[in-house]
Amino acid sequence: MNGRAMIAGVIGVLTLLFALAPLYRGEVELPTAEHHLLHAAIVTGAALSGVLAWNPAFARTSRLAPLWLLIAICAPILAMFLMWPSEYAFLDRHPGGHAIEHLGLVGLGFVTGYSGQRYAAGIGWATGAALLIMSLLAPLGYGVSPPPAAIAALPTAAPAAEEPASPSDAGRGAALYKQSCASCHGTSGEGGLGPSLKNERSRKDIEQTARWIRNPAPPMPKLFPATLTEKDVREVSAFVQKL
Amino acid sequence: MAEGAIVFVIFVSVAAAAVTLMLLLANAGARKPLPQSIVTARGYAVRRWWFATVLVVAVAAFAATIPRLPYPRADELRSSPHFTVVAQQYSFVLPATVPVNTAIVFDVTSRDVNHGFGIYDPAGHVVGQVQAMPDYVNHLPMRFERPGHYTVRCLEFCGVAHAAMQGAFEVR
Amino acid sequence: MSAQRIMWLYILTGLAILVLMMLLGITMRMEQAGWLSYDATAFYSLLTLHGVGMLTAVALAGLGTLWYLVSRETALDARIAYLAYAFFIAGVLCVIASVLGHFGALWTMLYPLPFVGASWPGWATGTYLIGNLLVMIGFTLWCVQILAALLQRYGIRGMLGVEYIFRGRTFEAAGRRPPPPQMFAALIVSIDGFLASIAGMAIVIALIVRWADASVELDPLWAKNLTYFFGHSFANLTMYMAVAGVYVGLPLCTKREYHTSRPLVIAWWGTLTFVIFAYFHHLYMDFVQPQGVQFVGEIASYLAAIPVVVVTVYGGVLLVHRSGMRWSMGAMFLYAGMIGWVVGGTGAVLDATIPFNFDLHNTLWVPAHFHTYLLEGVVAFTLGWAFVNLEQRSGAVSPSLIRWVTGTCIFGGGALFLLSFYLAGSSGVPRRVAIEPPPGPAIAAVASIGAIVVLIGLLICLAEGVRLARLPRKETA
Repeated sequence: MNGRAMIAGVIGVLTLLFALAPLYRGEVELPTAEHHLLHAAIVTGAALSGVLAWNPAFARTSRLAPLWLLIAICAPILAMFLMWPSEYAFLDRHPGGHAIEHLGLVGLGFVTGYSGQRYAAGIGWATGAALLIMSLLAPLGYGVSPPPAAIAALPTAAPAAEEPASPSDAGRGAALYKQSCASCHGTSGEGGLGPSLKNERSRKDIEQTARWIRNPAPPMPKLFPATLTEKDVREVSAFVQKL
Repeated sequence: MAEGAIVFVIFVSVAAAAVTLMLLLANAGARKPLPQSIVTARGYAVRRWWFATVLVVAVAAFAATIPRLPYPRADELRSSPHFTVVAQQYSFVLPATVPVNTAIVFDVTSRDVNHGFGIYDPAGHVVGQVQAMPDYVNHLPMRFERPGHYTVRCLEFCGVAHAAMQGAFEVR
Repeated sequence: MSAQRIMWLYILTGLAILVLMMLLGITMRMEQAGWLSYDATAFYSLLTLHGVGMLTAVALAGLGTLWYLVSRETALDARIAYLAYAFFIAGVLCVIASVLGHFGALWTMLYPLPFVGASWPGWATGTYLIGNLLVMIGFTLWCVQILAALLQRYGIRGMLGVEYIFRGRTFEAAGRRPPPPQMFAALIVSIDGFLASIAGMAIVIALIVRWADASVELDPLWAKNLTYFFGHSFANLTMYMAVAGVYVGLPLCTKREYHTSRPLVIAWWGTLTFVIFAYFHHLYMDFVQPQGVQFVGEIASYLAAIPVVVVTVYGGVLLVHRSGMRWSMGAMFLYAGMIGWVVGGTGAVLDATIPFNFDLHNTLWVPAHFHTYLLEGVVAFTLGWAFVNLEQRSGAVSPSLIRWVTGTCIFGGGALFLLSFYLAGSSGVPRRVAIEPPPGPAIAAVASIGAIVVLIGLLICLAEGVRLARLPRKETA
C-alpha cells in the first residue's frame, strides 16, 4: 500500500459518500444547472481517484492498449448521456434511483481516469480533464435555456394597419398571404419551393384549408398560433380559396 | 463605393502582391544556387523587420475597427426608437417604414430556428446584418442615409425554403 | 512499412472522398447557375454531405501524413490507427445514409434547426448526429494516441520545447535537440483537436438527447458556441496537419534542412493558443455575445496569421529561394500550397475584421476564403507530400508537360472558381442558398467552369500519381 493508492482510496471513498447523499438527504429540488454542477463534482472526484489508482511504474500491458484508450474516450460520452437533463425531476423525487444514477457517474468517472492512465502515463489526466470540461459545459445549456419572457410579447403577422383601405376579408387575407406564404407559394399562388395553390378550392374547401394551415406537415412551417391568430387563419384561407 | 467592393479591391491587391512576391522569390536567381547558410542569414536579417511590419499592420487594423463596431452602446439603446423584427420559417415580421437619417434600433429575434436579418439597400448592397436567434433578442443599431425600398434577406440557413425567405421595408 | 501503409490508406481514402465531394460541389454550383435543376431539399442534402465529406476527406489525408511522421520518431500502435479509421468510415457512412434520408440541416446543424420545421424524417437526424459522434470519437482516438506518444518520447516540457526556449544554453550544451518541426504540428493538432472534440462531443450528445427526448431544451447560444468551436477548430487544424508535409517534403526537394528554431517553437505556441480563440469570429453577428469576446475573436484571428507569414511560410520560401530546386510535381504543389495558404488567409483576416464582417458574414465570401485555404492550401500540400513520396520512391519525375497542365488546371481553374466566390460574396450574394439573387447565377456559371477545370486537373494529377506508384522502386544503396 503506497501513498498514491492511499490518496486514491480516500478520494474514492469521499466521492462515494458524496454521491450517495440522496440516500440520507431524501427528496430534493434542484435547478438543472446546479444539479449538473453537483454531477461535475462527483465525476471529478471519481476520475481523480481513477487516475491515482494506477501506478504508472507497473508494467504496461500493451496488448490491450487500444481497448483502454477506447474505454477512456467512451466513458465520458456515456457519463454525458447519463446526465440526461429531463430525468432530473424524476431523480429528485426518488432518492434510491438518484443514488444509483450517482453510482453510475462514479463508475464512469473512475473508469475515465483509470483507463486513460492504463493506456499511457499522463493520459488519465487528459481524459479526466475532458470529462470535467464536458460536465462543466452542461450547466451552461444542456437542458438549460434562457427564459422565453422576451419572446412572449412579440408582435404577430397582423399587417392590418398597413392595409386600411381594404377592410374586406380577402384584402387582409391578401396582405397576410404576401407576408407569410408568398415566399414559397409565389406572389399569386403559382408555386415555387412549395406547391402551387392555383385552384386549391378544388382540392380543399375553406375548412380543410384552415385546418391544414393550423397543423401542416413538414416542410411547411407551423405559423399558428404564434404568428397567425385564429382570425388570420380564416382570412388567409378565404384568400387562398380565391386563387 | 460599397463596402463590399472596397474589401474585394483590398483582397485582390494583397493576394496579387503575395503571389507575385512568392513566385519571384522562388524563381529569382534559381540558376545560381547559394548555400543554405547564406540564404538563411539574409532571411533572418529581414525577418525581424517583416515581423515588426506585420505586427504594426495588425495592431493598426485592430485600432481602426474599434470606432466602426456595429454593436449597440447603452446610450443608443436608451435614446433611439426601437423597431421589432421577428423572423420565422420562412418570413419576417417587419415594420413597414423606418425613418431616414435617424439613429434607430432593431430588436431582432426568432420564433423558431436561427435566421439572419440581412439588410440590402435599394442598390442591392448589404448595409448591415444581425442574427435572429430564438430565446434571445439582438439589438441592431442602424442609421439609414438613403430613403427607398430596402430588401431583407435571411442570412442564416434556416431550412428548405431559406433561399426564398425575404421581406422589405421603406425608409422615409 | 506498416506505417507507410497506414499513411497511404488514409491519404487515398481522403483523395477518393475528395473527388466525389468535388463532383457534388460542381453540381451545386451548376444548379445555382441554372444549368441543372433539382429541388431545394436535394440541394441542401448535398450541401450537408459536401461539407462533412470534404472536411473528413482533407482531415483523413492530413492525419495519415502526421501519423506516419510521428511513427518515425516514436513507436505507435497501428491497431489504434485502424480503429480510428474504422470510426471515421462508419461516421461517413452514417452521414451518407442520413443524406439519402434527405437530411439537410447542413454540417452546422445549428440548434434548434435539425428538429424544428424539418423536411426530413427523424431517423435521418439521429443517424446524422450519431455519424458525427463517430467521426469525433475517431478523431479523439487519433489525438490522444499522438499526445501519449509525444509525452512518452519527449516529456511534457520537452514536447513543448520549454527548456529549449528558456534554458537554451544548458539544453544544447547537454547535446539535446528539440523535436523536429513536424512534431510541433502533431502536438498542436492533437492538443487543440482534443479540446475541439470535447466541445464537439458535448454538443452532439446534447443534440442526440434532444432528438430522443423532445422535452430537453438547449440554450441556442450555447449550442452555437460549441458547434463553431468544434467546426472552426477542426477545419482550421486540417491546415496544421497538412503543413507537416511541407516541413519534411520541401527539404527533400531542395536538399536543404528545416530545423526547429526558437521562432518556430514560439510561433507554434502562438498557434496553439490562437486556434482556440479564433472561432469567436463566427459569432460576430450574435450581438448578445459579450463584447469582450468579440474583441478576443478579432485579435486571435489576426494573431493567428503572424506565425504563418513570419515563420512557417517565410521559412518555406527561404528553403526554396536560390536552392536550385528542380520543379517536380511534389515541389510545385508544396510551394503553391503555401501561396494558397497566404491568399486564403488574407481573405480570412479581412472577414475576421468586424466592420467588414458586418457586410460579409454568411455571404459567399466565407466559402471563398475557406475554399482557397482548403483547395489551394491543404489539398495542394497533400498532393505535394504524396508526389514527393512517389518521386523519392521511384527516383522518377513527371514530364514537365503534365506538370504544366495540372498546375494550370488546378491553380488557373482554381483562381476562376475562387475569384467568383469572392466577387459574389463582396456583392452580397448569400451563402447556402439553392437559388441566388443576382448577380449570383451569372457568377456561378463562371465558377462552375473553373471548378470543372480544377477537377480535370486533379484527375490528370491522380492518374500521374498512379503511374509513378507503379514504377519499380529505386535501388537504394
